[in-house]
Amino acid sequence: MGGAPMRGHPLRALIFCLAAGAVGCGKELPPRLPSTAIHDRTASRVALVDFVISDRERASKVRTLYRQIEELMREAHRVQTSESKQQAQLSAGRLVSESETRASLALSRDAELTALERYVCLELAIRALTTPEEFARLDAIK
Amino acid sequence: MLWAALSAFIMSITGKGDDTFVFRKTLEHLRKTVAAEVHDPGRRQKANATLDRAAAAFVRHRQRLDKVSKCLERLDRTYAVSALDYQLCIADARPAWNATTEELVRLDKEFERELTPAEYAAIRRGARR
Repeated sequence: MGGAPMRGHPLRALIFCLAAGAVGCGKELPPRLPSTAIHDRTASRVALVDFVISDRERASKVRTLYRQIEELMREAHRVQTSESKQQAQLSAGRLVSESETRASLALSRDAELTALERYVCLELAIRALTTPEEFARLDAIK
Repeated sequence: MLWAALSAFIMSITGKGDDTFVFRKTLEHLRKTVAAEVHDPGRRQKANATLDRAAAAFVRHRQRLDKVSKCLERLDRTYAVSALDYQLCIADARPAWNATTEELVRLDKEFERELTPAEYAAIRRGARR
């Protein structure tokens, strides 16, 4: 949020942000999670693997790896969604302790990090199944 | 109380996936609730300033993670990479999450201290709507 925090009127900061188009409150939203960016990048490649890799067996394996990456990221989001809902439900009934909130956020963090760790292995496996030329053509897909 | 909203800030995950628009909506809703429930100008000012800091913390969190994203994207576009290259990118993610957790826990305590128990309870109820 660019500039000093606006104080006083309850909505002043929001109005300021909307006017300034600042990150997080204007047209420009905060950046997405790494898992989301990876999911979207991978999804665009899955359907086009067959056009880039002529060997059907290798194409099938590469497609499977991309799908596994997609599923990993979706699973991370499922855990985070579940934690977020659980927090909301808990706080509706009583005050949630600091340790509970820390534990919940740690679960969300770990879901993201676990997905990223596994994704590294899958990305390296994709390279083992593709030539540099095929990889470059897949990379050209936006 | 506020924590439920703050955790939504951090995750901003909905049934449709990572939805950063949720962040903006949640912030707007909290500000309206504070405006409706906190009538003392001094306390209202402090509560809004804390919300400002929470919002800034969320944006900083996503900006830190965006550096991880950009690092990973660069590697994804490179054929000759190693597991270590990827690990170096990912190494920044855990400290980013941990730092934001600590910052928001601190802000949540500040928020509670700035309000009366009745105001805090009212905002807690309002945050769920």
